[in-house]
Amino acid sequence: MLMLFGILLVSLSLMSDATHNSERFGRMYSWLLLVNALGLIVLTALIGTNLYWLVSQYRARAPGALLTTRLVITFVVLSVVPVSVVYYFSLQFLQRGIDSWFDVQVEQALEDSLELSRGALDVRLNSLLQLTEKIASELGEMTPALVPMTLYDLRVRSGAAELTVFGMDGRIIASSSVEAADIIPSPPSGEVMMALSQGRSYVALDPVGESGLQVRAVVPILSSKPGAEPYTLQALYDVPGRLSGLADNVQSQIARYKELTYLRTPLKYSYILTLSLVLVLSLLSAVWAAFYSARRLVAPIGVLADGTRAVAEGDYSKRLPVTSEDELGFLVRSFNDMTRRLSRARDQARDSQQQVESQRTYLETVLGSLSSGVLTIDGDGRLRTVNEAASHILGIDLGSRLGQRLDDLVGDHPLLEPLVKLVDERREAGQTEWQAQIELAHSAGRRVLMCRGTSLPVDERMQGGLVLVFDDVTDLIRAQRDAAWGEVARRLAHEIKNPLTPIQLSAERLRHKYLRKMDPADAEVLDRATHTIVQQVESLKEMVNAFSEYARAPRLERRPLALHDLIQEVMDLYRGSGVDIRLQLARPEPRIEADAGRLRQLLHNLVKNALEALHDNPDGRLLVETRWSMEAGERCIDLCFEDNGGGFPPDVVEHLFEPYVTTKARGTGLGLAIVNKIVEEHHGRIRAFNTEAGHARIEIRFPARPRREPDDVPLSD
Amino acid sequence: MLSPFGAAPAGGDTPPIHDVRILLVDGVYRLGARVEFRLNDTVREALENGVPLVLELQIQVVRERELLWPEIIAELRQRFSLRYHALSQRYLVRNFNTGVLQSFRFLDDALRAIGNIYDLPLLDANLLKRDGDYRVRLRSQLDIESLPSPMRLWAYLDSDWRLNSGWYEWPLSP
Repeated sequence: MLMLFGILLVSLSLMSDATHNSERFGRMYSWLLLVNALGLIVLTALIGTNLYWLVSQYRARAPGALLTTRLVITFVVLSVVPVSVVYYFSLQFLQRGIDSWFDVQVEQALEDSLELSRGALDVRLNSLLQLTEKIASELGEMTPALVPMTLYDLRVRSGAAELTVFGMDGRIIASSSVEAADIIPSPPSGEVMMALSQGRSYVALDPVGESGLQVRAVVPILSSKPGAEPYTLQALYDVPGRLSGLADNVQSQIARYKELTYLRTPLKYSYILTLSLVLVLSLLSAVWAAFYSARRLVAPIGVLADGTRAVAEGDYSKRLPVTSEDELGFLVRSFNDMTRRLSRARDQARDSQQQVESQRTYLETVLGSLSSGVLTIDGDGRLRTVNEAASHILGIDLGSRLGQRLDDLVGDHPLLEPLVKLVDERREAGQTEWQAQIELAHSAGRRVLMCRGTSLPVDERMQGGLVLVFDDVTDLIRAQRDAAWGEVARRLAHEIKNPLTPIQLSAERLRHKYLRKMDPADAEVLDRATHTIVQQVESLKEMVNAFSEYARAPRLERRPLALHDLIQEVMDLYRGSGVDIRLQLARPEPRIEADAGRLRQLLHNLVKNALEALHDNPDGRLLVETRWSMEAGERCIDLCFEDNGGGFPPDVVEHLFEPYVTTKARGTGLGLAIVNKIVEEHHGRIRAFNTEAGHARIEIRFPARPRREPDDVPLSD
Repeated sequence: MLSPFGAAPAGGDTPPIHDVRILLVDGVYRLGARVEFRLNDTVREALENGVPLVLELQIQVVRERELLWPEIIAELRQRFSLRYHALSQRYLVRNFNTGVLQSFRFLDDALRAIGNIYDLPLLDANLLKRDGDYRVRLRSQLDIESLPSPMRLWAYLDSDWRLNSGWYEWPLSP
């Protein structure tokens, strides 16, 4: 492009030289014109391409297109305006300048000087003609044979450069010349001959070579001898140097001036053309330069825009090429730094997120596999985290209640009330770490929970929150209690039962040995005292046996059995007891896997318990009921006993199944404790309560599908 | 003298190139012809205003070929400069080939002197093949490139200056 511009510039300057009629470039003028025209066409095509590109970019709303357009317009305006002004004034100067070269007075003066020159030369021409005619008349008087002889003398005398005598047919008769080189004199031309044929002499100026003049005079030689051949004399005279020089000068200047005058209009047009070409070249170059620099300027901006768009779409891997060392280059480098940092930051964020995620998964796995229930509660008392064990222990699907306030949950699940109360109390007290045991009235009975609360570290989300870990220690407590009672029973058997037999034997011996020997009054005392001892020892023995029965843990022999058959069988034994025993049995008949003997004892104990409660009631009624139910997605069988006795006293209803709790005057207080034990051995649950009618009701729930004890698993070889 | 110089031969006037004679003298072909240069007023005005003209006679001996353009066997150019000498009021004709300068009182004489081709040796007859179809062709033209540079562009654009006779052909039998 620069080369094209240079070529055009050079050819334009040559063209302007050529217009000045310069010898060097005059010949090339047309070619220069052609080169310029072609160059301009190429430039125009280039600009057209650029313009097309710009328009398509503009339409496509490509980044940088607007800026390029603005820059191009600015450049073009900035260059067009001054160039146009210069062009306008140059045109004016050109027109007036060229016109001012020509002047009517100068032209007239030149014409006059030409006329003067001609006049001066005409005088000379005439005198030379006369001289020639004189020579011709001298020659006419000679005999033809003498002519060549005298010609030299005549030439020298007259000062002519050449004297030639021609015959009729143009033959050279004789010739004498100053210059020996001119062997053949030039014959008179047709026009000379024509003048001669008309009887006139001929004289004229003859330009010689590029400069210099000659006078040619041709006159007929009128022979004095009649009948002689008519000859013609041609004389050539050099115009004297000074006169010739002056005349030549006048001639050449006039010729030049006239040519210039004639060429005035074309010259003007040529200058205007050259100037216009310069203008167009400048304009086109400026426009092209505008495009070029605008594109160069905008290219990095377009690249930046692309890069920014990529970053906006989340592609941080974009790196831009640094093409320049200027501010734009700096911008590009900064952009690259920025994307590099962004991508690093994003990677780090992703890593830490993954880490958090994996920690969370880890924590969830740990929490999920814990047998302890774990809850976290935030500052507002909302449930944030809950594990499976928590839901299981509380019997509520807490997973679906995340984000709810614990207080609101109490409405749906009243059993949570003690827990919520505990949490509120401890938070109000500002305790950061605490431990407490609470009891919940679970649908399946009373549950004892061991709760440990710990305040969570303060952060924005969990402000004032706490983590609550709790275990269902009901079974543990019960096992401890059972173990304790078992120990009591063992001790009773060992420490109390053993001395009882000697006491009884000793008392009977005392009675046997001294009753007959004593007077009747003493004997009666002894009889009564020993009788009391024996009776009380018997009673003690019964009690100890009952305890040992309770403490005994026989190996269960579980078999599938028909529950209803067993119930019928036991109830038949109590038909004559004066109590109306009614059965209300579920269909289909449940079959459970149980130890028939233990279950029979359970039924006996419960019936006995009921009968004792109905002892004074003539309308005593006992309802034995079985029914199907569901708990935690598993089928269960409920076995219920309800009597219309006075119901359980409220103060014992909570501890009914603990040993040595009884409402009766007589009784070991072990009946229901044994029942409870059997229920637990069969993985069932028992609860006792008073109905709204004030009837005592005991409900036992057995799982329909038996859980296998580890002991029950058949050992393989 | 108003008829354009480059009129086609079919025009009513005599063709600008006529009286062509080709003679074989001593084994050399020699050409004689009369070429009329008919200058119009525009050109005459320029001449009288001191603009020198270069008139050119182009003579070619060509061999016709089938399918191809004719092969140029020999080419001659006779160039003359014609200008007006204001002081002597004469027209000067210089033959560029010979360097001979002639002056004429009248322009027609000068043009006639230029257009008179007399005994111009063309080429040696030995250079021609027996069976070739040879032709001699002539054309006369005004050399616009020799005009002063300011005039050239306009001369190219102005039909008054386009003084080209076109080719006139005559057979040349070996």
